[in-house]
Amino acid sequence: MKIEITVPEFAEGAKSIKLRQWLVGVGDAVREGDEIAEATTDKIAVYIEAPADGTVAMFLAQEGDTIEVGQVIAIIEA
Amino acid sequence: MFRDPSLFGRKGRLMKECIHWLDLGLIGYDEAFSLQRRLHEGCWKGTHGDAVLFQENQPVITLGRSGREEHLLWTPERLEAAGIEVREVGRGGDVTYHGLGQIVISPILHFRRYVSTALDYLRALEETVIRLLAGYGLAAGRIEGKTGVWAGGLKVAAAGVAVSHGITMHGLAVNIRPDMEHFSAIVPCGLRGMGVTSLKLLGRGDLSYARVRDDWLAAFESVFGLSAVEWDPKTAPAGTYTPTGKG
Repeated sequence: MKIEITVPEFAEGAKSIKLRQWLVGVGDAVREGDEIAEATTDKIAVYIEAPADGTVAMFLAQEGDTIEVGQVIAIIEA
Repeated sequence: MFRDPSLFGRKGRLMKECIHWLDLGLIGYDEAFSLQRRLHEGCWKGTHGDAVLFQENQPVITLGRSGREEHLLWTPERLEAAGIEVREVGRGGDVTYHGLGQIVISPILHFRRYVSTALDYLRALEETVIRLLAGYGLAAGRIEGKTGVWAGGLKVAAAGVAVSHGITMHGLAVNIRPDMEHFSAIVPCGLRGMGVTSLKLLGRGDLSYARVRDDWLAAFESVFGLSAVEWDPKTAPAGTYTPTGKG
């Protein structure tokens, strides 16, 4: 089953969110709650978590990209 | 109790949260950061509830997640001669100076218990300092497009937070009476041409660290609609309580 990783709603209101760094690689096993990416916005660093156990199947955004709330940035294969 | 609807939006709350506060006193940045991370983890794992840490640091310049080295203006030799260390930290924002005469306030909170978004949280933190200064008869506010709290066009408090597992880290640094010369080592928060000030320079040189801490707690309780009690050393997480903390 494919599970989408999205930019969390609580980052809403920020003018610009940037994907700073992936904390995992494609093919890595992750557990629910693991931090998988760092995003930065107006004076706020936000860590995006895996919503479920699985394996990182693909990235849909690159480090340095501007991303939006709700945007799918990666897929986990559960 | 007044609550600014623009800060609290749809998050109405029926009961007051009760959280703990802990004053680490004068402490090295690395040690304090390690304690903060440990408390953050404890908060996430449910070992304890939300908390606020206070500290005063030996001189250190921190580079946030968007920090750029060109915003560091002194050479490594000059920084070393002045006793200022440099650290990269996991919070938003650019370059920040911490040192003696400044109170660093780090709420470790499930912030969505109080506000809806991380940006609302940042604005609410700024509001605590605006109210703190209002209590001292000082007019302060925000500047559109910039973070922190400003008085007379100068920054009196820096703000920068990190959110992990829905729990915050880092927070505020309020200038009480720091060595202002040290700020010339950086472009504060990457904002070239924007100066900094302190409570002392604003005419309140009489204020102590403990007084500012206690008054800020009152403003924090009011803005966030919670109550904060000092962590009893018997129940504080092991290794975090320092009896030498300023009281």
